[in-house]
Amino acid sequence: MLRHDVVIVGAGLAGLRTCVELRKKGIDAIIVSKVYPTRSHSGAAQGGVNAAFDENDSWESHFFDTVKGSDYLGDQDAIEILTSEASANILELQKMGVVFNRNAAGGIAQRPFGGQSFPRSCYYADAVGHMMLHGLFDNVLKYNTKILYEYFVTSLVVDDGKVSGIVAYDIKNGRFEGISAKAVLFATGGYGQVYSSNTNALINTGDGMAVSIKAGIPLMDMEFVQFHPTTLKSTGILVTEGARGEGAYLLNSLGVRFMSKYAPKTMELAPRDLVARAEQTEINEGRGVDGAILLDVRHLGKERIMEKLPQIMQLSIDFEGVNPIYEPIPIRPGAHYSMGGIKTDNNCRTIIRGFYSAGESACVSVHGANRLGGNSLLDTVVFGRRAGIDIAEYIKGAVYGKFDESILKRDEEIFENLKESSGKERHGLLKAELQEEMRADVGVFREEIAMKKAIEKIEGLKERAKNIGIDDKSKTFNTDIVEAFEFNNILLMAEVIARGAVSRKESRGAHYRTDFPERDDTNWLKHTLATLDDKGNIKFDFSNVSISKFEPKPRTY
Amino acid sequence: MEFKVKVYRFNPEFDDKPYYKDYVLEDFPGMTVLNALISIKSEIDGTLSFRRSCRSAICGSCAMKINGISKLACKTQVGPEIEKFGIIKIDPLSNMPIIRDLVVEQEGFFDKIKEIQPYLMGKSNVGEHADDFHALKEGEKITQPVFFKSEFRNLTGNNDTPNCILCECCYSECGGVTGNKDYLGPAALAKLYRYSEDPRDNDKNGTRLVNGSKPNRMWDCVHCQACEEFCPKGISPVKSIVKLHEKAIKNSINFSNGAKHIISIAKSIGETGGLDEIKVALDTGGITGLISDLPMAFGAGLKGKIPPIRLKLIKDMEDIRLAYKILDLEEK
Amino acid sequence: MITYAYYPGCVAQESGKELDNTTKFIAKKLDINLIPMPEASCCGGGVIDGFDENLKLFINGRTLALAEKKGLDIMTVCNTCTLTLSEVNEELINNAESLEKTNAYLAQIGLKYSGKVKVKHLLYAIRDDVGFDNLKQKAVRSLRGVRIAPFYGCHILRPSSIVKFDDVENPRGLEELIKVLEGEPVSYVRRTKCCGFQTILVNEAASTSLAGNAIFEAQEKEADVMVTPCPLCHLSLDTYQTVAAKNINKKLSLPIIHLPQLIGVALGGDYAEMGFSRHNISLRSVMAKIRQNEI
Repeated sequence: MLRHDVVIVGAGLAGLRTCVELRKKGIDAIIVSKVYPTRSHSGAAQGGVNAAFDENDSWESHFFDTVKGSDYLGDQDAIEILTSEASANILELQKMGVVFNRNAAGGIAQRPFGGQSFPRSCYYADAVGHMMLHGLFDNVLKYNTKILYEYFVTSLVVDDGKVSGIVAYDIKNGRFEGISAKAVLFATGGYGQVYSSNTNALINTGDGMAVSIKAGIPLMDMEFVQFHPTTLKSTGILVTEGARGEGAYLLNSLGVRFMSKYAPKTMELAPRDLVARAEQTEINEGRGVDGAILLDVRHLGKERIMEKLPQIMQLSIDFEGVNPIYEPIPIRPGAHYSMGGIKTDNNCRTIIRGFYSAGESACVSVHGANRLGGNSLLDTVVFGRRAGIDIAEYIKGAVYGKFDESILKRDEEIFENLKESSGKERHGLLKAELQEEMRADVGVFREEIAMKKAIEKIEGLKERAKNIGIDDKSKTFNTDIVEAFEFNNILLMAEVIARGAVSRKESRGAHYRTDFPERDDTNWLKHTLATLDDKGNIKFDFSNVSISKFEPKPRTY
Repeated sequence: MEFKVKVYRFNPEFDDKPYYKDYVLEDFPGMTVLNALISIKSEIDGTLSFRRSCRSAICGSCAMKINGISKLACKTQVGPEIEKFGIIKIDPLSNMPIIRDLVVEQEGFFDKIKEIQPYLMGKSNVGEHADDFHALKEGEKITQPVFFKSEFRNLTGNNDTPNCILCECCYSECGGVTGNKDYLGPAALAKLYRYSEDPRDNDKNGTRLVNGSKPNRMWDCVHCQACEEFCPKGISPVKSIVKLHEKAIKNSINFSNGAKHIISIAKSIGETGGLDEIKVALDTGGITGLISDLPMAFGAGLKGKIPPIRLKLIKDMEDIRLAYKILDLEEK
Repeated sequence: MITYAYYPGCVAQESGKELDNTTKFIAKKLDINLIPMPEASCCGGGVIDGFDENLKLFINGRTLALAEKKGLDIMTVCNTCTLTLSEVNEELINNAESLEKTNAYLAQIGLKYSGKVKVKHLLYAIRDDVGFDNLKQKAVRSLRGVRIAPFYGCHILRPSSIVKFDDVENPRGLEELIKVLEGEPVSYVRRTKCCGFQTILVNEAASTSLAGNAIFEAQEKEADVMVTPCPLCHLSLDTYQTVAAKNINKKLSLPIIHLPQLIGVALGGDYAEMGFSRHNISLRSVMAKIRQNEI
């Protein structure tokens, strides 16, 4: 049994940012991560991180754009924090060693992004997530942080409404470890693997969210899944919104910039929910190109493409066989980001004392029904930092809670039983079935009958999951068993998403119901809170949206 | 088309020694080696262990040796490999202990990253924003420090070291590490260079270059070019290392044998136009070096291989002297 | 008759004289006209940019300009010279700024470079310009039954963006040459790895272990001899072989032959004249094996 004041689970941007905040104060905080920190999916973020720097721009404008982008479901007190702390956070990162491209005046260069009324996305070519992740990791090394590499969290240990630690599986050595802590932060990222054709890493299986809901913590607004408009047709690999920020066109099979029909003012730089729907409509109505839309950057010219978009150029060549300098890139919408997550307050606290969450795994909520491009990286650092500050205060008065070791025993048994199972189902194949079902029926366009079919499918898969067999009986780096566990997590996430989506009878942001195509502020301007009842069934409660400055208005672009 | 994947297998719990296991798969257009491994694992044999994550060449998890060369499985297509080698033979990365199958122990590699102090040093000259951090009030604007693009040269280009994803392909291919397990290796040294070039760094005492000049660091590079050749992100760590050499020498941080070696070569060329092997050996190792190399020198001497003590000058030697003069290198 | 400006490099003119002599011998046999470059300087041994990047440009730019003035391509017999001259050549061809500053220096010594020279290593000059068929026709001795381990070294292969002679992942040049001479190429992993030469004076144990392990692997694969196209590799592999054996604690005794010596054998060269007695590890066993083919 280990004992540390603070345990940070997940080593993407939010986790690392919290860690730096704690370590620089000398606090005993450790990182627990199922992968080496630099493998975290934050590194795949390409296009930018938003903050108003230009003298003609203002944080208030960023504030409003984000509220409008969220389709008024974002909590305005939280968004005010996000946008008013944005620039100071970016400068702090810069001071820590993060490099941003420069503008002619020697400031941070900024590019336009969807739904933003001013070019305010700071970038490092098209690899800003990579730059920030490695920069923060370097700072974590600077402060000599203990890192438990390749530990997979299986349970949160709670004692009388207060966190007392976690249970994690040491993948390398095949043993469980209990870690007693005064405070725990989950910065465990999203659940993109719920869908086929997603931009996410294979590790994004909603582990932290699954562990949290099982520990009684509500997940908020889980039905809001962002579909990114530009992902490579064959693999779902992300093509940054920065491409459109630099001026790329979206073309249908007729060679027409079809966005003029859907968002005449902002065209390709409309928010993601709108662009994804526009693309899917074009494809569904027969104006796609082999089930895809074309993203054309040719007119930007070789030099600009190579300077500003080198990664997407290489990705298109390596993974789609297309050189964007000479040919348009076939793209389609793909699952990208979880607007929902573990419900937290503005200081990242959850309903369990000492238990925090930040980043994509959390739902503050700053993204509401639709996140704007460039706001997720911002979310990770603003709230990662805030979590660190709040935790530092919290642990001053906190003591270690009682660590119920039976939870560790229980998790051990689950693994052992799974390992011994002679079931015939293969989790890899079940996962593929689930992903395809979710894409088809709980995707860009949603409708009751199809979603009920999806729920039936999920119920069936839950039964079949009881018969999962594990080939690998080893204790050494057994990824077979970890993947089986991850599958159970995405299965649970899929159910929460699908049931939430059925229950929300309106269209808002990324949640679009063909059977309820209008936004319904009278009945649905509220957050969805999912929890599990005693039998493990999902139930929903609702909570109010914080509206401080901007009354909901029709959302046009 | 059917093709064969031959995979290195070893589980220390069950196996006395490593072996290769063959799998037969059907390919599809654009299929990657990672696709192949995933379909083996999910459909044929769940016991095969390997790391993977982003599948888009940015996380660095799936580095492994494919037909003998360290590559990212996610961006290596099956087709061209089969065309060239007729098979997909997969081994774990070299130069690292093997945990199991294709999974290697990376902690040592990351310890070396930590060893180079990968962060800005000294009192920051960026302005103490941490101290005056605050949320902006209504109507408030923020001012930012000014850094011109030219100050960030070597840090913002497409093939510059900040693009390194720490995938360990270079480390696995590095001749220096193969010969010396304590050598920091290309990725760590490239990062050392990256921070030494950062205009925000305030390393007044040259700590980075001094530390970097100690044994097992920048002067232990064997110049085999493998790091540049096999970097999946197009970075050249060896070029960074050479720049570190130049920087150290220009700052008179010459205490290492490596620096002495290069200075001596430069001196020899400056004096004769050619390379005086004996003199270079003497200058580099001092007298001890020569004694320790005596058996070699003696052996070579017996065969008449000891080169002349004093080289004759090349023709038009004054041309070379002029180059040194123009570049202001005469004093060094 | 093919004509090259001949750039033997420093080692071939000093401790490795046998390389220079033998190269001249086989060139004559193969109708290659080698024009000496007495004005050429050392290339900087692959490390001079660590002293001063511009110095590397200037002295090698000068060498290239000397060849251009003669209207000839350069032929080398050393991997490191090949890479260094090729690097500078690429730089001067692709970077106008570098060319300008180099030419400013060259102008002061009555030279000018415009990027017309190609740099070729002997191995690929024979493959591409003389032709292996031609070589085969001129061979008078057979290497039948001799198991030859090709050791490429680094700088003739890497970086392949600069030296583009062979497939960097699976080079064939040496194997093809060995087969043309009727020898048996030995297949082993370390044929494309580093010999460690560049750090021999910095960390002798580490450096020589690289050469040592390559030799050991080839020995295990029952090689009779190892051939290398690089005199620096030759120093590591042959001159330091006894030291390497001690460092890796293995018994090593593998003759190491320069590439032109191997070709020279086939072309009927006199062993003494080709400097076979100048090697640290005796070549007697190899000579004996070849002699069997002559009986």
